[in-house]
Amino acid sequence: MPPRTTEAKQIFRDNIGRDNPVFVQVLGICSTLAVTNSVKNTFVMCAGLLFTLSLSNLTVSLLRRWMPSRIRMMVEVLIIATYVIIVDIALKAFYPEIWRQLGPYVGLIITNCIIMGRAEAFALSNPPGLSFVDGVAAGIGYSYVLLAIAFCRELLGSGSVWGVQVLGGWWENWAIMVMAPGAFFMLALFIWIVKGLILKPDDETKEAS
Amino acid sequence: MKTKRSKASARLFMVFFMFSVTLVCISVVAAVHLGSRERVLSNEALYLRQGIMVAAGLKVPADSETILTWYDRCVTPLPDEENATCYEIRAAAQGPHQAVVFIRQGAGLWGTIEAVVGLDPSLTQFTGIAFVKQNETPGLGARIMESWYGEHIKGRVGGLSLVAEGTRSKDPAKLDAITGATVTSVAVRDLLNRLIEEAPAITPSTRMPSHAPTHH
Repeated sequence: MPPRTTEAKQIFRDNIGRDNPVFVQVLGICSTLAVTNSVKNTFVMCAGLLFTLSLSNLTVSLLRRWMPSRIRMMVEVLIIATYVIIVDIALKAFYPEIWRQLGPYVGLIITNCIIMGRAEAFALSNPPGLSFVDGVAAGIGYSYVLLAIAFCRELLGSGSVWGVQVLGGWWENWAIMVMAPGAFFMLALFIWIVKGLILKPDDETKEAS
Repeated sequence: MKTKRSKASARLFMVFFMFSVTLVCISVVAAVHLGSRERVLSNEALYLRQGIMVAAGLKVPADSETILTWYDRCVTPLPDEENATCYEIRAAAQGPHQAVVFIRQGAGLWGTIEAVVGLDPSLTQFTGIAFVKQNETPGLGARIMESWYGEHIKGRVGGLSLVAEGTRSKDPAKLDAITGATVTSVAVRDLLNRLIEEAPAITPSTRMPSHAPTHH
């Protein structure tokens, strides 16, 4: 197998598992708190982040040879902001209902630490192909955690999934689940379960090193 | 001398690089904005018309063409202190008056809440409400967008006071608050109470003729 393919697979595995941006690096928590009380909103947020993260990684990597290091952060923010505004305009034009529901959170993708973190830590020192793969993998790693949290929060907090009522009239909605503390509880539970039961000890050793 | 020159050229390159990247980014954003402008404007116009229909207590058809035709035939903008914030509504072109609809704003938790609110021709009872702009917390204040909330406001009268969510009081002056969204609930209550006080001055019932509109 060519080394690049092996490397890409490793990047993918790391971002989804032992280097996951949410439950290992604990990045992007603002949006975890903000949008995960609805699966539909979370899905759109994740799609927006995946688009922005992969393309900003690709662009930063393409420009890395010419980018003066003293202004690199300004350039990165500019590139990220461009992709986020494109997502915002596309949502406004094609999915106005979801755009209205998400309100300011789409614009706040710019401040998501994962995007800037991957651009600084990976895209600046790796070729465009691998940087793109890294962006997609980190985006997927972020998305599945958020979607799992959103599923639990919407189900317990509103008795519905994707806006469809699944729990009957007997269900008493847990108001705390749609409030920000509900997201903290769910995220903490998620981290506890994953670190305690799924991540193997050697993974944690690697993580520590 | 050489170092000075190379430092100057490095600085010049930084400026040139930043300028070029900015130019490209702005051009891309401008192109996307212009490419989608028509669609965004038509979405906004359709959304406002849907809101007017909901506020007037009418069923909104799925077909956007029907909504636009209805609007042209049955909605008459009335003069207000601001432009086009007040509309006279008929269910059908030749039908009787259904409602008077107002666009009003209130201060929410994170920003301005803009709502299209309908009153019956006597200006005493709400016929419906649609929120066209809000930045409230998703899952809490943003639940004002849920259909039950608008439905619940239908038939209420002025001097509203808040009761716990789920009360669904038969008293038309009691409005359900949204659990965990006190600021938003109060903002909506105040917006409605203020409107019902101001409406007669803005649109005296004597100004509402019973015949069908002659323009549009």
